Order: sequence, then structure tokens, then C-alpha cells
Amino acid sequence: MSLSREQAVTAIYEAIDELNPQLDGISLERSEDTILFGEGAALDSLNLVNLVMMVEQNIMMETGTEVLLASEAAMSRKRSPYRSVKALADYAAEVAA
Amino acid sequence: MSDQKPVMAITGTRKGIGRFLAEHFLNQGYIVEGCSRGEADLEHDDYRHHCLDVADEKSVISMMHAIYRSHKRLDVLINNAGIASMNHIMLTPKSQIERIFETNVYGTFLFAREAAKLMGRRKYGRIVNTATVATPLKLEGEAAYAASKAAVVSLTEIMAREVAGLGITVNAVGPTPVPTDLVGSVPQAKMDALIARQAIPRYGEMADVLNVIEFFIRKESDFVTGQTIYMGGV
Ligand SMILES: NC(=O)c1ccc[n+]([C@@H]2O[C@H](COP(=O)([O-])OP(=O)(O)OC[C@H]3O[C@@H](n4cnc5c(N)ncnc54)[C@H](OP(=O)(O)O)[C@@H]3O)[C@@H](O)[C@H]2O)c1
Repeated sequence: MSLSREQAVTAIYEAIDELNPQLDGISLERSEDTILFGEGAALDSLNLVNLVMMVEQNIMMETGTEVLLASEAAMSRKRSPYRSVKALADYAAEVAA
Repeated sequence: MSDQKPVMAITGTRKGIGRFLAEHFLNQGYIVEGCSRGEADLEHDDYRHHCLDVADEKSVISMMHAIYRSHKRLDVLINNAGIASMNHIMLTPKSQIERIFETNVYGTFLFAREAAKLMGRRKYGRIVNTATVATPLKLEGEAAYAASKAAVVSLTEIMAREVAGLGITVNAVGPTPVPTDLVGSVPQAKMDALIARQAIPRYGEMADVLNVIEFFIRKESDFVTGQTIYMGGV
């Protein structure tokens, strides 16, 4: 049970596909450059939380790996792991390792 | 909701009120995922028991993942597991208040948090926590217990606001004494005095607890959140 970075990106894209129809007037792009959180982000905090939770669950379903993306360690990082799709994928692969 | 059976998680289903609730909702056609530290002898096709301590974060997360894997949904969470202890505050060891807070507060928190993650995905959920009349009645000898349940009320009120946007309601039921093992150790005179302070001075029954829970979890109760309903007119 491990998680490759590619699997993490797939899990995030699937969450984006699921979240998009629920978003009001905006749509997130399936790209590693998509900004999720902070300046220039399209998501409000509740939708960000929902996205991160979907990613956790997708990873668990696809790879059997239980990753905790909303942890103390994640919150206290200087550079938020929620900043972008790329940052989130890096973080997921890192904590699953 | 689809025509698939609704899924409910209940904590503390080995005995007492939790066991009663599990049996009731299984009869109502729910899939019930229960837990307690000990094994439960409840046998039903739609029941699964998880042996865990509600204060153990890893176990709670694993149980919720198992629910997601099996059913892809969670409609209702009843945070019922709880412990009490009758003790003068000057005679209460730190370990006792720790144990009470771990089970009643951290357990409730962890289950509510993990449940909301599953519920949020379908934008629907009902969370019911368990308070007690010992809090508003300021029951002497129950300081640690009443304080832990005061914390549960506070969690209920604030979480209700935080997850409202996800279609999840969070409420609490505050039972009067109900004859179970939990109140078994309280002296009779103390119990009588307590019951005399209720607007309706009788023991509560499990069906009274159930009635409040059923109101909270109805689909029509989507405009009811952040509330604690105390039984017996307390
Ligand atoms: N009965 C009353 O008069 C009354 C009044 C007001 C409020 N309440 C509240 O109602 C709820 C249920 O009480 P009850 O009377 O049914 O109590 P009970 O008969 O003592 O049952 C408690 C249940 O919770 C489980 N449990 C306890 N600690 C646990 C832990 N750390 N992890 C997992 N499971 C745990 C127990 O199973 P294991 O031992 O196997 O873990 C058992 O199934 C509690 O929250 C209580 O505070 C009860």
C-alpha cells in the first residue's frame, strides 16, 4: 500500500470533477497549476475543506492508503500544502511515503 | 436520498441506550455501523461492529473509511458513547477527568469530524450528540461529567454553524436519568432528588431519547441545527 505522485494527482483531478458542478459560477481546471487556496484562489474555505476530504477518500479507495491531509503538520507548514494542485499532490505523496 | 438503504453510525452500541438505538434503527431499515471497546452480541445482516475506543483517532478514521468503502455514504451519526462518574471534585483524580473528557469530548469530536467528511460529499447529514441534564441542573458530584457534556453542547452549537453549508445538521439530546448501567452506581436518594427537579418528575425511558433523535434526523428537520433538547422539562 503506497501512493505514487501520479495517483495523488489523479485523486485530486477526480475530486475537482466532482466538486465543479457544486461550485457557483466557477470551475477549477484539471491542471497542476490550479490555485486552490490563498491569493488568487477560486475556492472558499468550506469548498477547500470539502475538496481535501474528497482527495483523502479517493486516495483511500484507489490505493488502500490512509493519508491524513488535514493534520497538524499540514496546518503548521510555512508553505501551505493546499496552495495548489501541485502542492497538494506533493504533500500527499510525501505523507504517504 | 436514493433508494439505497440509509447508513447510520452509532457509538457505544454494546449495551444501554446505544444498543437500544441500534436495534431500533435496524428494524427501521437502516444499515447500522456500531462500535464500543468490547464485542457486541448484536447479530443482524445490516449490522457491523467495530471494536474501538472512541478517543483513538486512528481507529475512528479507519472505521469511517470502512464505512465509506462499503457504502459510499453516511446519513446519520449518533454520538452516544459516554461515561460518567460520581465523585466530589476534591476527591477526583486527574486520571478520572481525563478519561471522561477523552470519551465524551474527544470521542464526540473525532466522530463528528470524520462523519462530516463523508456527509459533506453528498451534501447531506444528521449528527446527534449526547448531552445530559446534569449540566443545566448543576448536579453536585458530577462536575467532571457535567463539564464534559457542557463541552459537547458547545461543540454542537459551533459545529452546526461550520457545517451548515454542507447540508449537515448537528444537534444534541440531553437525557434525564434513564435506568442503565451508567446510573447504576448513583445512590437512590440522590437520584430521587434529581428527578424531583424535573418539570415532569419521572425516569426517562430509552424511547424518550429515541423520540428526540428521530425528530432531529428527519429529512424535514433540515432547518433545525445547533440545538440541545433536554428531556423532562429541564
Ligand atoms: N443513562 C442515563 O441516565 C443517561 C443520562 C444522561 C445522559 N446519558 C448519556 O447517554 C449515553 C449512553 O449512556 P448509557 O446510559 O447507555 O450508558 P451505558 O449503559 O454505560 O453504555 C455506554 C456504552 O458506551 C460504550 N463506551 C463507553 N466508553 C467507550 C469508549 N471509550 N469507546 C467506545 N465505546 C465506549 C460502552 O461499551 P464498552 O464498555 O464496550 O466500550 C457502552 O456500549 C452517554 O453519552 C451518557 O452520558 C445517559
